[in-house]
Amino acid sequence: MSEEMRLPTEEEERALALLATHLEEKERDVDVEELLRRIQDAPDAREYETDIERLERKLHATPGKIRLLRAAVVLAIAATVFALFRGDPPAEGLVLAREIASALASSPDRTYHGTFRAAHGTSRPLARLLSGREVLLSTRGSSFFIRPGDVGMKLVWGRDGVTDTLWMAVPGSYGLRSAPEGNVARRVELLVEMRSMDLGRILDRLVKLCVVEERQEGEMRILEATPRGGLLARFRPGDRADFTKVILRARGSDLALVRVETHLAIDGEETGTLVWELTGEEKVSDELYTLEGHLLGGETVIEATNVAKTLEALQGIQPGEGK
Amino acid sequence: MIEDEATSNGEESGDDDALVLGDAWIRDRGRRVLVYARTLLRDDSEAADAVQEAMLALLQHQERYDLARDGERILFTIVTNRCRNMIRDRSVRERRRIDDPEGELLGEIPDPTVCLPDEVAMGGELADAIEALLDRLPLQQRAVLHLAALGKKREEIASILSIKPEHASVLLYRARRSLARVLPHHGREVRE
Repeated sequence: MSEEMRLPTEEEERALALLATHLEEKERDVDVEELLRRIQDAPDAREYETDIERLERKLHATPGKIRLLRAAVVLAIAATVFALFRGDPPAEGLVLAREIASALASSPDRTYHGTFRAAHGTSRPLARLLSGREVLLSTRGSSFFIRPGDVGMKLVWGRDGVTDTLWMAVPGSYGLRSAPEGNVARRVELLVEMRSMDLGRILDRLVKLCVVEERQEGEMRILEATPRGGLLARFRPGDRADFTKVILRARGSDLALVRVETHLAIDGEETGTLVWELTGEEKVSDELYTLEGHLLGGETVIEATNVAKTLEALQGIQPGEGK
Repeated sequence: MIEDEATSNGEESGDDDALVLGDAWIRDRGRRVLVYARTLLRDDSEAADAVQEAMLALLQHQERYDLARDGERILFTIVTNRCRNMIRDRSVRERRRIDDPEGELLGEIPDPTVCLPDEVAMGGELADAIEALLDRLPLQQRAVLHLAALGKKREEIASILSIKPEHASVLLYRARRSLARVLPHHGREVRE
């Protein structure tokens, strides 16, 4: 038997026992009621509690179980009243957000014009630098690609929803494609999330994590969403609290998003506003949702799953070298 | 919310609400798994987030599982994976911070202060010595050590961490050895 497979020595056993005692003490100090509150307050938990059919099926409706079911109903109602009292999102807003998300997921091609405006007096140099920058976003279901809407930018990037890969290209220079599970993909996903360019993701986050209010203006249905502070780690300052408000305008007839206004923030400080406006609904070539659709030929294409290796590879490639 | 083990087993109980909502189940496992998440993440706030998300994930998919039999193991597995993801996110943020020294994209990452465990042990504080060791141990060794201290067997530890039992043995050997090295004085006190 190798040394590493041997049984613990007496000293090791004693140390492990000390650790066990230490952990038990820590367990006693846990505020488990706080944990319960957090779970019960989460929107997903409330949805489960109000799902009476599932409860009924699980409890098989014996007399004792009916009592339990009744208790569950009372608690579900209480939870809902509690949620409303606390100012949590009205159900209508969430329903509409889900309907818009569903319409977006099965949507035909739509093209949006995006403009970023830095917040007045922002201290963030990058926000000031990017102010006025324009981009074009084309979406089809879970696929999208973003290209420059003005001069000075060459980078095109997007997601191929068919293969679930993220890609980016500098036409004439290089292409980068990352597998869904790769570190590069994760990093780009974060960027996509943070810059609020993936409309499907925005809607997903609104449903899960925001207070959503709905109103109607003529044929337009307006959703205004603000993050619930502190519910989940995603909204802790310095983590991913990347917007303070999102306003969506959806066409009443088919719930197509016609305008998305995202107020971006870093550490609670508003840095600028990104506005997407629907500019076209013409069919876009399938190829343009893939990396290949943006390569001129002869570029270096990096199939990447590792950030370090990718950066290393990219350092050796200057624009134009791939030709 | 979570069906209690007693309910699953068809046992009766006077505490109907607790059975339906599974508060007892959450209380019992919550303590244990929250301390486990703290061991892995070394951050109380993140640990609470990880456990909350894991519990919600379990709630949403509970029909897939036999919670009475496997609930605790599955919960530990989910928490382990959440913690791994959070630690991976931290490293992404750390890299971004390096790329973005002005903190444009993300907030500041706290600079962890690491104490040498031997130094702390010399001070005679058992809890500090253990925590300092946990700060220094690699993630997987922290996990196996914690799970072993909870009395879990090698196969269950391997299952929770999604590793081979032999790998779990090796990790446990290294972690136990480090622990014994850090706590020799306390060990002798216990023996005496």
